[in-house]
Formats: sequence, C-alpha cells, structure tokens
Amino acid sequence: MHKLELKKVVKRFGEKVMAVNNANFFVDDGEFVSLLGPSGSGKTTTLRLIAGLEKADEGEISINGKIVNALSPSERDIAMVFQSYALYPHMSVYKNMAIPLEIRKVSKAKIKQRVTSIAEMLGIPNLLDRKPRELSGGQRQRVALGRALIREPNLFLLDEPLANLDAILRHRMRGELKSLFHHVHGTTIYVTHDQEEAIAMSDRVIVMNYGLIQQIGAPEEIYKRPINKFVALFVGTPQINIFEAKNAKSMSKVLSSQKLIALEKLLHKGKVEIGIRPENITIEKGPISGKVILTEPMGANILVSVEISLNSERIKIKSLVPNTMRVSEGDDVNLSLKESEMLFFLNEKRVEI
Amino acid sequence: MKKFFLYVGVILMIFFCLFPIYFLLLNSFEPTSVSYSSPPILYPVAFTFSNYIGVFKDISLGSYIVNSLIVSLSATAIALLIGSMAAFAIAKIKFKGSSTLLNLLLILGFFPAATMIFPLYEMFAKFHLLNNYLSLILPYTTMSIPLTVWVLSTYFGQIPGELYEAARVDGMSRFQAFYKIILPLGIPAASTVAILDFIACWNEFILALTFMTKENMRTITVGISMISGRFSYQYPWGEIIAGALIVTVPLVVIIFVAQEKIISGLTAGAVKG
Repeated sequence: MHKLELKKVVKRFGEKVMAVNNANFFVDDGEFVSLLGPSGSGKTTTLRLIAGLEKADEGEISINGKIVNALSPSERDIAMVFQSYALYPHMSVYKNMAIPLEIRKVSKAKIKQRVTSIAEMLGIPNLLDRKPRELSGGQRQRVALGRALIREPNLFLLDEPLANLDAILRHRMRGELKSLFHHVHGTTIYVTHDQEEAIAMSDRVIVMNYGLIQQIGAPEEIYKRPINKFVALFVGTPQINIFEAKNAKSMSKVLSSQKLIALEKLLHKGKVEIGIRPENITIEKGPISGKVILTEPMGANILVSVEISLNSERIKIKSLVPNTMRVSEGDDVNLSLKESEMLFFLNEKRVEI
Repeated sequence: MKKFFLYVGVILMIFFCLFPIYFLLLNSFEPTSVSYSSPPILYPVAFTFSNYIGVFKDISLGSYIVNSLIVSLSATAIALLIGSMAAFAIAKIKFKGSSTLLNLLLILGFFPAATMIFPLYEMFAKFHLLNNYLSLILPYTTMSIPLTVWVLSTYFGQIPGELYEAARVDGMSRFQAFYKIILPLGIPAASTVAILDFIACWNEFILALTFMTKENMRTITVGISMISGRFSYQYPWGEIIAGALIVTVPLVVIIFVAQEKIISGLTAGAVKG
C-alpha cells in the first residue's frame, strides 16, 4: 500500500484551463518526492489537491489506501508549509507551533515538551515568546517548519518553502531540510520550480508542465535520461545543448558511422534533435572546429560558448571546462562531443539509438 | 509663509467645526432668558447648573439613557455576531452567489427605515412587542447588518487566504479557523464598524418614536424631543441643549476610547506572512 496515491486526477479551472490533467503517481512511506515544473505547470494545484484545499474534478486521491476526495483538509491529517509561511500574526511563536496540538486536545504538559524539543531541533528555542513580525525571513521559515513538524502527520506538504529566502540561506536550508525530514522519517512532497533544489533533495522527482506529468524518476534518471526535450531543457544547469540534425551528412563530424545509419532511419520519421550536456563536451582536441564567442566563469568551472559550423549551418554550443583551462573570447578551438552521453529526440520525445 | 497660511486655514477650520459645540456648551450653562437674548451673547454671563438639574428632575433622562443603551448595545452586539460570520463566509468560503448576496445586502441597506414603519408596527402589535426592547433591537439589528457585513467582508478578504488554509490544514474546523484566526485579525475593522452601528442605533428617532409609546420605554432621542411639550410658557432651550449634550457625551467617549483600540489593533494585525 502506498502512503499517497493519485489516480487519473483532473482539476479544471473554468471551462478551458486544465490545471492538472490526468495525474497518476504514488509516494511511498518515508519518501521525499519533489513536484518540479515552471510556474503554471500545475504543481502547486496538485499539492493543494492532496491537501484538500482544492477539490478534484475527476479521479481518486488516497492516503494510506483510503480515498480522501471527500475529506476536508482538517480530516486528512497532513501538515503543510506555505510559501508565505502563513504564520498566525497575532500569536507568539510558541502558540503558532502549539496550536495544531491544542486543536487535537493534547495535554498542556505534552505540548510544552513537544514544542521545546522541536524548537531545539530547529535552533529557535530563544524565539518562542516573539511574534512573527519580529522575526527574519529565515526564522519565520523555521517556525513554519516547526508548526508542521510538531505532530506526526500522514504527509508533509511543502510549497516552495525556500523561495522567499536569500540565496545563501536557501542553499544552506536545502541540506538541512533534507536531513530534517529524513530524521523524522516523514513522507514529504516538495513543490519547487528550482530544478537544482529538486535534484539535490529528492528521492524521486515528478516533472510537470502544462498540467501534465512529464516524467517521474530518481534525480539521476531525470538528469541523464530525460523523457523528452522539455525535461532535458528544464533540468540541469547550465542548460543542455540541443541542436537539430537536419541530415546525416551534416552530422558526420559529430557521430560515429554506426549512429549515422541509425540517424538516417530516424530522419524518415520526423524532426530529429541531438542533445548534449555542456560537461560532456571537451575543448582543444577534437574533430569540430569553432570560435569562442563568450566565456562565463562559474567558480570551479568556466562555461564556454563556441560557435561551430556543421555543414553550412552555424550553431552555438556551450561547454563546461575546468577553470584551470585558458580560453578567451575569439580563440579558435576544437571540440569533441562525448557520443555515449548524447541524447536523441524524435519529435521532442527522447529515443534510444 | 506657506506654513503660516496653512495654520491660519487649520485654525479657521477648527473654529468653524467647534463653534456650534461651544455655543451649545455655553448656553447649556446659562438661564433660558440669556439664551433668548438678541443679539446672541457669545461669552459666559451667568453660570447655572439649573438646565442640567432640570433635565434629570423634570424628565426621566436617566431612564431614557438606560433604554437607549440597552437597545443600541444589544443591536450592535447581535449585528456584529451575525455580520462577522456572514462576512467570513462571503470572504473566505467559496460558494455560489456570494457576490449576489453581498449586493442584495447593500440594497437592503439603502431601504429607508420610514418605509418599514407600518408593516413593522402591525407585526409588533400582533406579537405584543410594542413597548418592548425587542421592537427596536430587531429592526436596529437588521439595519446594522448590511454595513457590518460590507466592512468586515472587505477586511476579511484582505487577510491572506493562506492563513485560513493553514488553519484548516492544521486541523481547525471552519468555525475554529473563524474565531481563532480570522476574527482576532479582524478586531480593528470590527471595532470600527461596531462604533458606526452603535452611533446609528443611538441616534435613531422615527422607529423609536413609533414603537415606544410608553413614557418609561422612550429612548434618549425621543425623550429630548418631548421636553418642549412640558412647558407651556417658554420654549426650554437650555434644557434641550443640556439634554443634547448629555446624549452626545457617550458617543464622544466611545470614539475616544475606541480610537486607541483601533490604532493598537491595526498594528497588531500587521498581516504579512
């Protein structure tokens, strides 16, 4: 039995907008699963459907094997952290964290013990008497987490909890959140538009776009074997290089003869594109000559944009090289593309060749 | 120089607003003969408490005030109780026709009280409610609800939806979310609207005049209007003015006391996630 399961779930807004279109997935006990997608992809709506804040138009949502479509949010026994944190402004931090237990008529002594231990865990025991408006963004975020962690719900739902933090804090909280939810063995669904976050934190990632689930898989799988062009482009920084293979001849410098034959066959079926991630392209020795048009230092690496010509066509390709390499704009370079890491897309869908 | 004109303007404005009150205050402490002098005397001449003593001795101003308080406070409280729940439903719970309901309430609010006198009188007579506090509490409540709902639903609407949703996810029922989260955050708006409701009820005249025919059930507005009928030889300006001032004092006190509350409430309700 899965902890959470969605079967053919549909949510429409008005007549035309399909916010969530036939969502099917499950989450197992103790898993940390991300819903990843650009804004408007339906990820937050999916989360709200699970929480019961929206009602599904079709399909079944079940928690612990029990269908919960008709249950209100308070009956589903879930905890949610909102993007804006949604702390109760008129209550102290202590009260904010205690209230889910007070509602459930837990004894005062037990509440106190629980709040204290969660506050210790989050490193905010000194803030308990403050009001939310007296806290910094990071502190508010911890209180919101505390309010969720205070009980042991079926599911933790996190809606872009790091989006409002500054970059340094966001990076630090990523790791902290991951270990925190593993520590409490919580089943967690994490909504984010930040693919780095999803890749770094999750056991599995669900990629969505236009209300449709594109791919479900472990982070490496999503990264290395994206199901289509959208996922390939959306996941990974720097972004993957994708260029069209118009005919086999133009690709003769790029592909081995074996792959060229396969490509020829594919070209009969539709539009073929080749994708390769920047780290799989090396500069200096290689069969393809080009000119460096831009270099972007990225700390340990440099992102080098090279213009090459394949047959008569000029394309821009990005390569990620270690910062020990000396390249500058205007240099003539030779590229080599690692064939084993190439991805082939036929009509936007990835195919193996 | 610019400032000079500003200050002169402000002083003129204040003078313009406060002069009538000064004149009332002055005359309430003068014997009626002075009030009648022509041209009017704008400074204290003879000082007397007789007008104030008179309104309490000649007419039962005390019991009128009590009647008015009972009726106005009850109507305000009930309107606030019902109105806040209605406003919460309109602002935070999705249901069909919520905006229609709000507009309907607005239309009801425009209904002049005078048009309702006859049917209400018939009804109250039938239910033996005339000369009963309920005959004023009920219509006053009804008349207060539209404004209450409008002000509160707007205010509740501005409270972030995520707060209500968080409350629901945290395990609160709709009603718990209302009185534990939304209502405390709505205190500034609720106290403002309570004052407005109270003043409207306190000042109401025509229904009070019609439904409270017994002397001991009269409200303050009616009571003061009846002062003149008791004196045949001279119009008792002094006593009427004294009565009017006594009636106004509670309102001024309420506003001053509540102002503090409204301001502190506004800062407490700093609603930002």
